[in-house]
Amino acid sequence: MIEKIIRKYYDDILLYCYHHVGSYAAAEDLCQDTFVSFIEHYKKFHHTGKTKNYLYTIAKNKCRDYYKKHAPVYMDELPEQGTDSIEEDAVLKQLVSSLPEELREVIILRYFQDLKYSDIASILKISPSLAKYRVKKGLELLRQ
Amino acid sequence: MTQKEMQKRLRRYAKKTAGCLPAGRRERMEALLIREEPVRTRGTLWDFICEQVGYLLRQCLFWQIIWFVLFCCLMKTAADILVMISVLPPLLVLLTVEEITKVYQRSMMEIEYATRYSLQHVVVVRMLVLCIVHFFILFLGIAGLHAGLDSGMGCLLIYGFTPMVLFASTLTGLMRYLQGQRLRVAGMAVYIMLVLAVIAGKSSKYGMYESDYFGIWCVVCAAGMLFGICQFVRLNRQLARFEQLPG
Repeated sequence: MIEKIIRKYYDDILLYCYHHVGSYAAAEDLCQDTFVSFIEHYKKFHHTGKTKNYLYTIAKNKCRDYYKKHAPVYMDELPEQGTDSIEEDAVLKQLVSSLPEELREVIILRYFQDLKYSDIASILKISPSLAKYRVKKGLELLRQ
Repeated sequence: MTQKEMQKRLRRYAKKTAGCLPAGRRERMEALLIREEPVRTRGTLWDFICEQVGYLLRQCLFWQIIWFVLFCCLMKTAADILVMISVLPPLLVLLTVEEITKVYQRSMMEIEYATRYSLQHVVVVRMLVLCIVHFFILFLGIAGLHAGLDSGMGCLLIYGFTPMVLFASTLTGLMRYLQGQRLRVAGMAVYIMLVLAVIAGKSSKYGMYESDYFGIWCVVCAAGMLFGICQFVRLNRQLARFEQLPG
């Protein structure tokens, strides 16, 4: 059963970690750590919510620990689609990374991971209305 | 830049990065799978039963309460109580039958139970739980009614349980071929025929509610139960065969 969960959510968690740390190498390490924690704690805890949200919660905590130890990396592998596109993506990535932590988190979960507000609320332990507010606030800051 | 444009940019960026995942991640995922230790499932059979009861409580309680209120109101106001007592109990079965085969895999515990306990177990446990609950609800309703009526408790129980048993047995048979919405539609058709049969039986032409026919009611009830048990056993066997299919 754990195999099914790992196969299903590995790419999503990897992308989530990448959007946080900006480096695929670091993201892979964090993704591995996330699933190792998941396997270890699966035996001990009774969790009744969605498996996906539980994995995102673990990954979020791993990324937070990573931030404390390392400075974020902004430039990494991007598809070669022309200078303008790369610059645009790099600017966007930098803008998202420069957001306050709570706003960055909801922007990543909403637009990069395509999660519903109810799932975001469950992962961050906030209300769905607060999640919507933070997304709106984050978008305002990005536009400025 | 408007909010919508920013949202579009973010989604475009997300789509680009999703297509750029490193090729070597598969090896790391496989390494993770090899590392995975075998995990004992956490739930016992009792946990599983309680979980199914909890599921049915969430899905069926509303309809059971509505039915009970309707039952109490109609029993007080209906002109022909004996027809009502025969016609209402199968409605309770019809309202909740669809939940027997629904599976909502949302939580980790539900996924675990679904992989450890088969569909056969799920269906059997849910049917037994609903059977006990519905008999209890009906018994409670009829016991409450008995005080205000001339008919004996035994008569009322037979008039109430017999159509319910016949209807439930028929639905159990239909469950071998239909599920979900189709089962409910077929159930509604059977229910309408049952209502018409009860109304016809009540008429002076047949007079099925006269005391002379009480013995026939008891025989029909017993036959209905036997029929129901046979259908249940066949359904159980069919579900067991389903579990043995490869893949």
